Amino acid sequence: MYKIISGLILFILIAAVGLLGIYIVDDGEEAVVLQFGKHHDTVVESGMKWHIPFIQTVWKENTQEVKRMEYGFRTTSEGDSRNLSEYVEVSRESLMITGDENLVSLETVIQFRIFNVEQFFFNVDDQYETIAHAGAAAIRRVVASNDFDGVVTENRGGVEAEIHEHFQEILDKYEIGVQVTTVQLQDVNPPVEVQEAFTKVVGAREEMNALINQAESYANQVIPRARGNAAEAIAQAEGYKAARVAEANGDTALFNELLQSYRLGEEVTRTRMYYEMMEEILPGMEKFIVDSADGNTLNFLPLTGSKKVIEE
Amino acid sequence: MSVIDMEKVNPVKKDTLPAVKKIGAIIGIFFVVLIAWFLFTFSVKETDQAVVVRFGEVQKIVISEKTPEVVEQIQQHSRLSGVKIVEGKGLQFKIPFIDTVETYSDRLLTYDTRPRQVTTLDKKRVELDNYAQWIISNPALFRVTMRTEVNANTRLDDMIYSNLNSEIGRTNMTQLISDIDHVEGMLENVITRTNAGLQEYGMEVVDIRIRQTDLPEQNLENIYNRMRTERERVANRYLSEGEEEAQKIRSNADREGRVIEAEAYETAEILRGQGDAEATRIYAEVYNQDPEFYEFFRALQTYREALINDTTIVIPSDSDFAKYLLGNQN
Repeated sequence: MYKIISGLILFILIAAVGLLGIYIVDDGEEAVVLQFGKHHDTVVESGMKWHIPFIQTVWKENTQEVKRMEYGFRTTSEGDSRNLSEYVEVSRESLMITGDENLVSLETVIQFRIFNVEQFFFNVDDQYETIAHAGAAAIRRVVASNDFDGVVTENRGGVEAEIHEHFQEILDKYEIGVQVTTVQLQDVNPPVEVQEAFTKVVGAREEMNALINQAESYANQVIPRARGNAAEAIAQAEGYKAARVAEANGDTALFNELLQSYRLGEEVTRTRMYYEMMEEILPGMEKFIVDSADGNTLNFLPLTGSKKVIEE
Repeated sequence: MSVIDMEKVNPVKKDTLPAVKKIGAIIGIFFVVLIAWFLFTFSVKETDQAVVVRFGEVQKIVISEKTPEVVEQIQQHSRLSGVKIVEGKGLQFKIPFIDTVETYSDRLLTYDTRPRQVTTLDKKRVELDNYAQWIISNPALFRVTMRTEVNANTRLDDMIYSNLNSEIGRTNMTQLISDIDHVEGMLENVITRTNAGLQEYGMEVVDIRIRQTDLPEQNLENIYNRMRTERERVANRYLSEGEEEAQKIRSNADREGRVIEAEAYETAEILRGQGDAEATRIYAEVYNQDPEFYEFFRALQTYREALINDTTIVIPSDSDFAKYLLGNQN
């Protein structure tokens, strides 16, 4: 009887201790085991584990999960397939000063991962708060060392890389066991107060392009037109040249031919040509034949049927 | 019947009584051991450090590492010279009721301030928000001088603020905002000086960082105005550059067009000249075969053209033309 009871008690105790000592390390989790508060072991494999209850305590943390820090805005509701995510800007955080003393509104997402659970648990108090402080300091310091234009447009990648590096530097100094995986600048804008002026710049740039385009289309009209005129002028000149040559050839062709026949009989041809000419021109003329010996005009003999009376 | 029954019962009782007692005793011993365990031992977590106090006096400290600095600090302090330093966390022993155990954090602690206004060398007001990371480097000293983290924060606030302020008083605003190396050096100085003052409190600042430098509201308006005018300047530059570029393109086009046309004119005139020259050459070549006949030929042509209708001609009777007509050949 005594044995049964004591055995039962012993069994219950052992069972209780056994059951209470069971804990589960999920995939991606790591755990530290403390024995009387002292670091005893670090469990990196997932699965069902056992520790001595009351004497040992277990602290677990996920080392694979990527954790996220938002600076300058907060996600107010996570989006899903139906709804878009909603964000709200935190202007106290987002408004920051750049190296050339301008202001910029910057929204940043930093992702990080715990890579060393021992460091994470043992070295720093209030880890997430510390990470947030360090992140803010890193972001603002890097933005303050860059020009406005660099942050807003030209050098975003460089700024991200700088934040990444500087943030990691701070975290390493704290030996917090956290690794920064990505730094992303989300919205980088000039502050609302001056956005209108920035829109105007965009407008001005558009206008500049429009002016240039107009001028180019003018050039595209002028030059072809000039080329057309040039081609026309040259064509005309070529025509003129050809015509002159042809004319000359034509004009001289007749002479050439006449010359041939003229050489056959010079006197005869001359006379023939002379009379041919006279035949052509005389019919249409008013003609007077005058006796040249005395030069008296009274002897005029009108050769045509003209009724005109010539008087002295 | 009843006697027999009693006799039957008795042995059973005699048998069970010691067993119950035994179990009770075991349980009793268990509890005594448990209570003694709690009374005589204490655990120091990896994240903590402990100070054992006996009658108000620090008896021993449990820390993670027995550094020479800590040993020296303890030895030099008049009231702490007898303190025992235990290295390593875990299970420790104490005398119940007499020893009390106080634990302090052994991790990096954050000290955060409210943003406050400081004045730079060039007399500009800047709103500064900084934070610091610090540790309790010597729990014995800390226990004696500070006792609580609240007191420690006040102390940190006083020292960091005054040191930072005097450093910033020697810095121009532009430097403070954008000269990273300068700021880094400045903060190093603040850390060194703060730590010199904090040593006697068993505290040490590991890092001070400026989280935010903001300009007061009225300065913001100035910056906005400057940004606006700067943008206007950029916008105007774009516009005038556009006009300039457009004008360049136009005049270039005009020039090019004119050059094309002029060159064409040149070519055309040359062609015309060639035509004229060629024609002249042909005429000369052909007519030169017999200049005298050409003159005659050309004269006839001219007569044909010029002496057409409505012309009056006077023919002398003795002319060649009329000689046959009037029969007055010589």
